[in-house]
This record gives sequence, structure tokens and C-alpha cells, in this order.
Amino acid sequence: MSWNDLTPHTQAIGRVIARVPLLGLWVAWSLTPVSADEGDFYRDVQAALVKSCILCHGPSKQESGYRVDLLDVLLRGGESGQPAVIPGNPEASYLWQRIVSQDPDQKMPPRGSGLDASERARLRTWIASGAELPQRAQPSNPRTDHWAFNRIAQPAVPAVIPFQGQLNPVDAFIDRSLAASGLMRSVEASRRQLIRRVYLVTLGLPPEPGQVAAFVDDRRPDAYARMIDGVLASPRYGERWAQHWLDCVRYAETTGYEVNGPNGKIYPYRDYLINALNEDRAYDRMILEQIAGDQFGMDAATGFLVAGPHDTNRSPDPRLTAMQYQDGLDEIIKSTSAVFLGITLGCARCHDHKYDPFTQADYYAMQAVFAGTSYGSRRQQGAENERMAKSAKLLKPQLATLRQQLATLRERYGLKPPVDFHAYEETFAPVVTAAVQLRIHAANDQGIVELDDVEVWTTPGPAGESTNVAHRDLGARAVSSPTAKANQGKTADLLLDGTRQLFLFFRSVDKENVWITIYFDRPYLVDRIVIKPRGAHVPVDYRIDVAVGDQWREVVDSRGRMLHPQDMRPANRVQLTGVARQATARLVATNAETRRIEAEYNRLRDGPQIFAGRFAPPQQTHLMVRGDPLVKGPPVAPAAPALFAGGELDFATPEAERRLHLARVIASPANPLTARVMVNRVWQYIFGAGIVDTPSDFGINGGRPSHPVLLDWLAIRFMEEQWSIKRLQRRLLSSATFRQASFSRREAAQIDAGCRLLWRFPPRRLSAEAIRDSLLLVSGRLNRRMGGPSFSFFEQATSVFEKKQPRGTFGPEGWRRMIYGEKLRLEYVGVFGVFDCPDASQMAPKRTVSTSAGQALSLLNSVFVARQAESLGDIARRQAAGLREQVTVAARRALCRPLHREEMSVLLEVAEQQGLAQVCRILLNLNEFVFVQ
Amino acid sequence: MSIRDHLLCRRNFLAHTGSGLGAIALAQLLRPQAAGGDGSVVFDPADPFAPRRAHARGVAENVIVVFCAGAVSHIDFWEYKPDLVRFHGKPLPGNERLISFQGENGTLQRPLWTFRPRGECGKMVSDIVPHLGGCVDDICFLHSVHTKSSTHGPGENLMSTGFNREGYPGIGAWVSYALGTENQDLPAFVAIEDPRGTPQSGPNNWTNGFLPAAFQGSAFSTTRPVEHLQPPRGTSPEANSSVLRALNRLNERHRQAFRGDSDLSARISSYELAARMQLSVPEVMGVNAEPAHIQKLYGADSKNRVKADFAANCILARRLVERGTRFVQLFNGAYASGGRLNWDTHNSMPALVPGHAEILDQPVAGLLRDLKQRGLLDKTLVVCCTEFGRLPMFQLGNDGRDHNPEGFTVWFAGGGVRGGMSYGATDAFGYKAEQQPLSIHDVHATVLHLLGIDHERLTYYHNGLQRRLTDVHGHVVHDVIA
Repeated sequence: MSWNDLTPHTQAIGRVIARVPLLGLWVAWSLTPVSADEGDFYRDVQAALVKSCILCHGPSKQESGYRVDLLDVLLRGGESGQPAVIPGNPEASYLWQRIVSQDPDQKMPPRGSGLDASERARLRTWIASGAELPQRAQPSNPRTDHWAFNRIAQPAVPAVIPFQGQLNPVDAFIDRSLAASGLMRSVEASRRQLIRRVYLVTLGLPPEPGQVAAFVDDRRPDAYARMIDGVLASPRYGERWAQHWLDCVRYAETTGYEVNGPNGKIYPYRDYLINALNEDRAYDRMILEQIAGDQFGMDAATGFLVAGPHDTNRSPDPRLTAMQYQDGLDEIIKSTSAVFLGITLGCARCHDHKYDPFTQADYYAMQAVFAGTSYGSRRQQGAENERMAKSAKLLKPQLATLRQQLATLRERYGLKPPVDFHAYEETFAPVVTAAVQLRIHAANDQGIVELDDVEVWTTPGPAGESTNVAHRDLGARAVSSPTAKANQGKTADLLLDGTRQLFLFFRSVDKENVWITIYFDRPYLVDRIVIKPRGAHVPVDYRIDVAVGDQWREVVDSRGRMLHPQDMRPANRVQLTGVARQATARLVATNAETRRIEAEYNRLRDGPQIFAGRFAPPQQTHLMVRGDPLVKGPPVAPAAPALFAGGELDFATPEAERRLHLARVIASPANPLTARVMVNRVWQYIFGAGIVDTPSDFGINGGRPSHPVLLDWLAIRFMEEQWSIKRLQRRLLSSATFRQASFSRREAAQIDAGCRLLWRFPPRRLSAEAIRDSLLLVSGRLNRRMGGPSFSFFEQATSVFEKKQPRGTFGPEGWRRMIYGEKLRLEYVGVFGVFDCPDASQMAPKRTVSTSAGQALSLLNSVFVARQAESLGDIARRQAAGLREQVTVAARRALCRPLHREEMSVLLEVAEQQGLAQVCRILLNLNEFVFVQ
Repeated sequence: MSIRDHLLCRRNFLAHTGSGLGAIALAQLLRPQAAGGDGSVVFDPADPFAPRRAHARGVAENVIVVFCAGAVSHIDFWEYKPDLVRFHGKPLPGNERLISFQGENGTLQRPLWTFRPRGECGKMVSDIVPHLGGCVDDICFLHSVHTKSSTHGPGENLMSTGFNREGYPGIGAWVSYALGTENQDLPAFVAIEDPRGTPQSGPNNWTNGFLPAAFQGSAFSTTRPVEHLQPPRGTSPEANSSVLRALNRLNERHRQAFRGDSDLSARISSYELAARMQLSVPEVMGVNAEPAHIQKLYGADSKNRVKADFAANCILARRLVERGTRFVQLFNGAYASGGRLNWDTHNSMPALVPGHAEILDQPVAGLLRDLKQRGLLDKTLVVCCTEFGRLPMFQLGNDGRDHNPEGFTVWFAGGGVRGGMSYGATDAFGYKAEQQPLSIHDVHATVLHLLGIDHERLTYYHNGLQRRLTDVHGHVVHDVIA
């Protein structure tokens, strides 16, 4: 029986091997690729053509009208008119002729290596044997046949002989494929190794000596199960697993791009995840909450949508602005599709997906789902919000009284209205002058002065006509006291352009005695000046002079105006015409009190604001031609990708319903991807590599599953068990596969060096977070406080553009777990950033693991590690008297085991000659300390 | 047996245990199916920087990229446009009301400095860079480069990584991933920041992106030492070496128990490299040990502190490539700061630019001359780039030029390119790349080609694609190759 016979109708591997009797056969095939040469059209023939030809003969380009992804066209041929494939006759087939041609003008592909010898051989065999196409092939989109896009079937557990005690179904699958390649599982690891492994994998922290001893001495038959239950119930659990999720969504507390400023209060999302995971919230529920939590009273959860980078650098350039809008939504589309569904829908922004069955219309349909979502903060509903709303209501009468008092005082002293933050006017008796001068003694906040424009208007003529003569086009010029050298010019010339421009305005260097002189091209009769600030740093104490002859003559001063609510000057700096000192002081005090109460009122009225996205009625979504942000194609209605058959929504569907709909399509048990993708993620974080090792890409171009039936079996169980992540983890952690030793075995390594078949527990280096947290636990300094604002890894910067300086030393706040450290996008934290810690610029569903000298230097020489080593030494000294015993205590904390004689003698020598802290420095640098084995 | 020999023996041992037919077959089956030909580089994690063979024989072995952060005005420096003088004060024809990054623009502005013929080739270069003007016979100008972003951060990203968004590997990371390095005691890829500060896009310029972190650029300079290079304060050299000895012994013992795990060996090797770097990095940083005439050649003796420090960084760059470092990114200019700390001169160009030019000119010319006199220029490609150009007009009401992504100049020297050559051109006013336009991908493809790397075959799988430095674009500019 050949592979072809087994699969007359489908190449969906997962479904084929669901038929239990065939399992052994499939495994045999998977390990002996030679035997699979015949038959599999998609794998053997089309994959090679797609690889070499699709860029020019596929969905985005169809050179000569030919494409290899549509099977009818593949056979029929393109504009040449010659049939591409003549079944049974490769030599006469135009496709074959072009591929094997020696003529550089004929050869396909024209550049690059093209098909290699074995690919050619398979193509030729396929044509020679009749060029049969799979029966289920759909000419429009052949690739829906891909295994991951098919419904999950209910597979049976293979029957294998139990090996070493009771059999967890997971082990049955694993043992079956091990056996098929002549391998066996390893023996069970020691109890010390097991407890350390369970803790590090599940909590990201090693066990403490007491916990190790209790487990090692626990003679009850269910000791291991009890230990696992305890670990899964630990609050440290959610902190560990939330970190994995944050990697996937590239969570950070700054915006990214060149500004990379704080994006708002987003840590409630981090805390939401930690709590939800600790409570074992059902995963399908977590999907609904993260996409549409505002509909379930879970506002923090939608932090998911806006966790990615977004560009806040504004410009009048229309193309740039349109691109920024598209990019912002693109990040949301990419995370939603990659994180929950394991698909790379982002690839369909400019053209149909090159490999997977997703069209450009699918992409923009999802954009329509999120068209009303923007990056910003909103009110977090809940008890806190209600409490604040109540307090705001209580404060309102007090604010009204204060405002009334101010109005009364203003009336009593006959003061003019205060200055305005956007434009205000001063008038005076008409005067002929060629220049005016502003002398500014103070801005409202006693800081620098910023002005957008100053206009000087001529006295209206008979028809009421008046001209602004302080304009560059009329030849006016301006000089001033020193101006700021900011990113853009801030000179007084910019006051004369007559328009509001984003970057072009005046900014003083000085905070008092600021002056601006404007010269006209000739004398004019003027009587009015308009001052246009930029909304802040507004002059409140100033004089205006006009030039008369060679003298300045004051025409206006600001002392006749009422205090602006944002006028922060102390009473002794305020002079008001006709108001006595004491009365002025009272006015200033009332103004300050009003300002304080108003700010408090506003804060309470806005409620708790969290960075979890803003939702507004969506604008019409269009397909953007070639992804160009300025070239609108047809309008697109909101929908989930058509593959999931969720149906299209009406164009008028309200914003929240769009998200709810998408969330339900994703969280549906009928969705072929959601459960598989999540089960695979959990598997990866426990065993080091996923069953599919491209965890956010289950498409054609992603990795193939090492244990496809097991993946489906786990996915089905996961859904049957109410999408409980902890039950899934308990199943994996209690498997013999997890519990086996991690020693390498030469004969097994020769067959499966990458350990994808799991003939041992694959050892691996700890993540950056696990290393830092472990150091703190071992040194006795770990602060277990959960949630709330983050601590900083960097010194306070003076400007957003300054290089961030890593902090050398930390106090108790900085001894919290690393997940509570402020995550700055595009920055590497000191000491630990080099341990492959993602910088949140890209989704990191799988961390790279590298080894570098920089890592060694960090752990060896940083102040942070030196401090932890000292602290570990202190603990040892407190707990034991003799040096040998102290070394023992320190080693037990770091390695969870007693030392061998040789190790003890090496360390004791260092302890005697260099001190205990140096021994601790060694322990914290050991391979064993930073590896889970 | 030296440390290196020891390492080699161990590697051979690993090679025997870690492979085998079955392993290869399984790995082949499970790996992501390659879309554009799987060009992933195979390397030993225990030795990620071992020199590796390129796809073809390259001319260049090392690269120094001088990155002028903030956008240098090509029309005031490198590309002579007589029509700018003729039409000075007139609006830009066809784009009279151009809205660019900062808004409205004024009229055409003639070059701020005089251009005159230089070298034997007679290339017209502006008086603002007299020293570099003297090097034109070794320089190949690409006058028709254009880019996709008009903001500094994304523009820098594109120039350094091929993508305007963050998180893609820098060209230096790609090159060290492809080729490893020649000196196992020094980092393969070094990013030297300007004495004035960090460039706008910061570490994203030298990030490893989704490549393994080992390929991230090491950022250090004469004014910013390597982090954690020396033992913590209060640790005597004896204590330190006794710690290293004991650590190695215990790790070695542990490795015996887990024979066959290359990650453990890799980590032991990394401590050995760290120990060697404690000697090799201070040695390479010993710029002061250079003879006086060399310091003078670069201008490291200048009274201008910033110039002297930048010159020292140029000497450091030479010392690094001389010792085998594969890729050096040398930044000239920091972040956007109103034109004070980098080239981003939206205003006061006549006053601000000469200050920046003085810092750039002599040190980089000194670098070219020094590389040449040591015979290093033939195998060292020097690339002088910036994120975009500047507009031929002054901004409305201002004496500075706004961003111009439509056309600007990048130049090459050494490493197998033709000297005394100019390729491509912008239009008559220096606005848009017109003759033989070049994308940044074309520039990258050419740099890789000179190193013997086929830019279409150098790939790494990430989130659904075999990623390339050049995305799905890029053509090698064969005309500039000697």
C-alpha cells in the first residue's frame, strides 16, 4: 500500500492519522522521507513550484498570465498558448521545458537556483505518471486542504504497552512515535531534579530548600500530584504564564517608534492576565475579554488590542498621516490573527496571502472590525469608577461656589476677562507707528513663553477694512530676547506667518524679561493687537509699547485683566489695577483653591483611566489598493476571515458588535485553529519546543507538527475540559514524558538530535525573567508583592531623546518579579536584557536562545549579581556556623541539592581564600543554575 | 593545549554526537517549509562567530558604515546642482506648494557652499568638506538613493535594517550571522555611538531583531566603555581568576554528566570569550597608544572636543577591522535636537552645518587615508550614509531645509568598488532621484554582494516567512563594482 492509496481524498495529515491502524505507518514514513517520494502532490510538487515561482506566477504577479497556485492554470498554461502540462509526457510539457532549459532567456526561474534535482525528479515523475490532481482540489483556492485549516477530528489514543508505571495518554502518543523510530523514553528523573524542573517551568522560580526536602521525603504515592497541585495554585504561577502571553502580544508601556514615550496606564492589562491565569479563567472566555472586555465589565483586558507599537509623531504630511492610521490598525490585526489563530493575516495587507487561503479582502474585513478602535485611554468601569463618580458629584457644589466667588470678585474690582489660551485681543487708541514691542514679565505657569502668532491690525477704514501688518508677506520683521533651540526653529520670525503651524512657533529661553519687537515695512495707523498662544505657556503679565519717534510709548498693560484660572503666580508677583494688596492675595488664594478643586473634580469625573484602547463609531473601511494608504479600493464590511465561515456583518454594524462577533468566531469550538494554537503554546513553554515549532504560524509556510494526532487529541480535551489551561498543564506535567531524565543518550541523539520526539526532557537555559527572579529568590530578597504600577529599570531621563541609563542598584521595589518592571519598547534592560529578552518591537511567540560573552560578563561582573551573591552569603552565615556548612547552605539554595565531594573541595578552597561572597558569585554563574534540566 | 585547540577538540566531539542521518531527516521534515529557498545559515551555537563561507568569493571582508544621523543635505555636500544657483529664489517647478514633513516650504535655495572640482577625477564637491573632497578618487557616489519614510526613526530603521518598522535585524547582524568573524576575541559587530549621544532610532540600528541575540551589535565607543567588562569593585584580580577557575571546573564537571549538550559547552565558551575580552577590548580601545602622526591624521588632536572624540572613534573603527571585526557601524550625530546634536537642520543651516561638517570631515577622511596606507581599504568597504536627504528649498520663513526622502546621496569607498565614480542622479534641483534610482534595498544588496553574499539566499525564518535583509526587493548595482 503506498501513501497515495492511503490518501485518495485528502492530504490533511492530522485526519489521516486519526485512523488509528495507520498511525504506525505514518510515523514510519515521517522518519524515512525517501519512501514518500511518490504521490503527495501538495508536498512534493506544488510546494517546489510555489517556492521557486510564486513571486512572479502567483496571487500578486501573474507574469505571462501564468500562476502555479491555481491548479487549473497550472495545468492549462499562460499566455504562450502552449499547454503547461501534458499528462504522461514531461518532455512535451512547456512547464518542464522551461524549467530544464539551458538557455538563459528561457530558463525558469530566470534568477536563483530554482528547483533542485530531487524537486525536478518529483515534478517529472508526477507529470509522467499522469499529472493527477487531488480530487478535493478547488481551483480557486487549493490550500484550504492544509491540515491546520480543517476541523479537529476526535482521535483515539494509541494502544501501547505501559512503560514504567501508569500511562498518561500523552505518553501513549509519545511512546508510539518513539517506538516507531526505535527509541525509548528515558528513566524518570530524580525527585530533586523533578521538583526544580516543575518549579522553574511552571513558576519561573526554583523551589526553596524546605520545599525540596518536603517533596523528597514525601512517601505518599501521590506525592508528585500533590506537589504539582501546590505549584499550580501558587500566585507565582500567573506571573510566569502572563509573561509568555505578553511576549506573544509584544506588550510594552511605551509607544515605540521614534518618540517611544509612555503610552498610558497599561499595566492593568498585565494584572488582568496574571489574575485570570491564577483563577484558571476559561481560555475561550479570555479571548472574548481581550477583544471585547468592555462588553463584560473587563475593561483592562482590551489592553491586548493596543499593546503593540504605534506612531505618535504628528506631521502635516498627508501621506505620513494616512500611513500612521493604517499602521496602527495593522498592529491590531496582526496580533489578533497571530496570537489567537496562529495565522499571518498581516501578509495580506498589500495583496492576497501568498501561501495561505487569506485574501486581501479578509485583511480589510478584519480592519473594519477594528476600525473604531484607537490607541488611547478610557474609563475603567467598576467599583473604583463608581466611587470616583460619587465623589465628583459631592465636589460639584463646592466648585460652583468657588467659581461664583471669583465672578463676584471680578465684578467688584471691574476687571476685564482673563487672557485666553488660544487667542486674545488688546485694543488701544489709534496711533501711527512703525513698530510694536511686547515686554513679557511672566507666563501663567511662571515658565518660558510660547506664542504661535502676533497680529497687529490697522484702524478700520471707512468700509471697516483692516489689515494685519505684522505679516512677513508685507515685509514685517521680528527680533526678540533669546529663543529656544528645540527640534525646530523657534525664532520670533515665526510669529509673522499669519497661520497656525504645528512646529513653527516662538519659544523663549527666559522665564521673565522676555521681549519681542515687530517692525513693519512702514508706519501704519493701528489700534488692535491679537496674541495667539499655543494653549500653554501664555503671557499673563506684559506691557505693549508702540514706537513714537525714537521713543517707546506704552499703550496697554495686562494689569486690568482678571486672573486666568491657570495663572500660577504667587500673590506677591501679581499686580491688579485698582485692587489692594490684601484683596489681591485673597483673589489669588481663591483662584488657586478653585484650580485645585477643579483639577480634583476633573480627575474624579474622568474616572480611572487605563490604556486599553478607545472605541468610537467606526469610519467606512476600504480595501487599500496595494496597501497604499492613499489609494482607496471598494468598501469592505466587517467580518472574520472567510475561512472561518463566520459570515459577513452589515456595514452599519455598531462598533462593539463587530469585535464581539470576531471574538465569538475565534473562541468557537468549531474554529480549527484556536484550541490547537493554544495547546501548542502551552506545550512549547513546558517542553521547550512546540509540537508545531512556529507557534504563531500554523499556515502552509509554518512548521509541520511533530505529533499531529497528539496535538488534536489535546485540543479536543482542552475544549472538553472547559478550555482550562491548568488542567491541560496538569496533564502535561504529570506525564512520564515530562518526568523523564534529561541526560543526553548518544544512540538517541544520533537518531533525533533536536529531541523533537522527546526521548528525554530537553534541557534549556532559563529566560531572562526566570534568571533575575531566581537570583532574587535565592538571595532571599525577592519581594512577592503583586500588581500595580511598575518599577523602573532605568534612571530618570531628562528628555525623551536621551539615552536611558540602566540603574545599577535596586531597593525592595526593584526586587519584585521582573514582570512588574516597566517594559520600555526598544530598550534592553541592564544585565538581563542580553538574555534574549524581547524588546517588544515584534511579537515573540518563541524566544531565540543564544549564548554570548555579554551574558557572561553581565552575570559575572554586574553590581546587581554581586549584591545578590553577598546577600546569599549573609543568609548562609546566619543559618550555619562553619564555612563548610555555609557553603552547603548557599549551594542548596542555588542548586536545590547537596554538593559532591569534589565540588565542595573546589568551593571550600575559594571560600577560604576569597570569602563566601565569591563562592556565591560562582554558584550564581553556574550552568546548572541557569539551566532547567 | 591552548584554549582554542581545546575548543576545537570539543567541537569535533559534538559534531560526532550531534548529527546522524536520522537527525537530519527529522529536522528536514519538521522545519518550516521554505518559501524562497531556505537560506538559513547553519551555525554551531557553541561557536556562533566561527568564520563561515559566503555564497561566493567576495572582495570585501569587513564593513565600516559611517551613519550621519539626522539627514545630511546632499545638495550642499555631494551632488552639484548648477540649476539651484540659476533658479535661486524661484519656487520648485511642479511642486510649488509642496507640504513636507514640517509643512510649507519657501523657494529654491542655492547650495550654501561653493562646489569645486577635486582629485584627478575632477568630481565637484562642496567646500564644506575639504578633507573628504581630497579623497574623491577613492569614493563612489550613489546620487540617486530614495527611501520610504520622511521621519528620522523609521528612516534610520530602513537604512540600517531594510524595514521602516522596528524589530528587524540590522545589516551588521545579518552579516555576522552570515559570515561569523575573523577574531574570536572581539565582538563580530560593533556599534560605535557618536560622542554627542545615541542616534534617533537607538539600538534598533544594531539590533539582532529576530536573529539569535548573539548577533546583536555590541555598543561601545571611546567615550562609552563596554558594560560589565571588569569585575565588580572590590574584587581583586586573584579573587577573580580563582572564581573563573573554579567556575570552569564545576561547569566542566557538570558538562561531563550532560555530555552531548552543546548549549552547556556554548556557555562555557562564552565565559572563555568573556575572559579574553577583558584583555582584548581594553587593547583595541587603546586609541591613545597610536602614534602622534596618526592621531593628527584623523584630527584626534583637535581642540574641538567632539571632533577629537569622533576622530578617536574613527581610529577605533580602524583598529577593530584591522583585528578582524566583521562589521562596524560608526555614528556621526545623535538624536533630533534642533540641529544641535545631529544633522537635522531645519533652521540656521549656515550657522549649524559647518560645526557638524568639521566633526565629520577630517576624521572620516583620515580613516579612508589610514585604511589605504595600511592596505586595508581594498578589503574594507566604507559606506557613508544618512537616513534621507534635504529639500532644495528652505522651509517657509526659515533658513533650514526640510526632510527629503525622494532623493539623496550615499557613498562607498574601498571594498572592491570603483573610485572616482558617480552613479545616478537626482533631478535638476536635487529633489527626486531621477537617473538610475536606487532603493535602500539596492544599496543593501550591493553591500552584501561585495561581501560575497547573495541577498536573496541569506534568510531566516520568522513568523511565517523566510525573512531577508532586502525583503522581496533589491538589485545589485554591478556598475559600481571595480
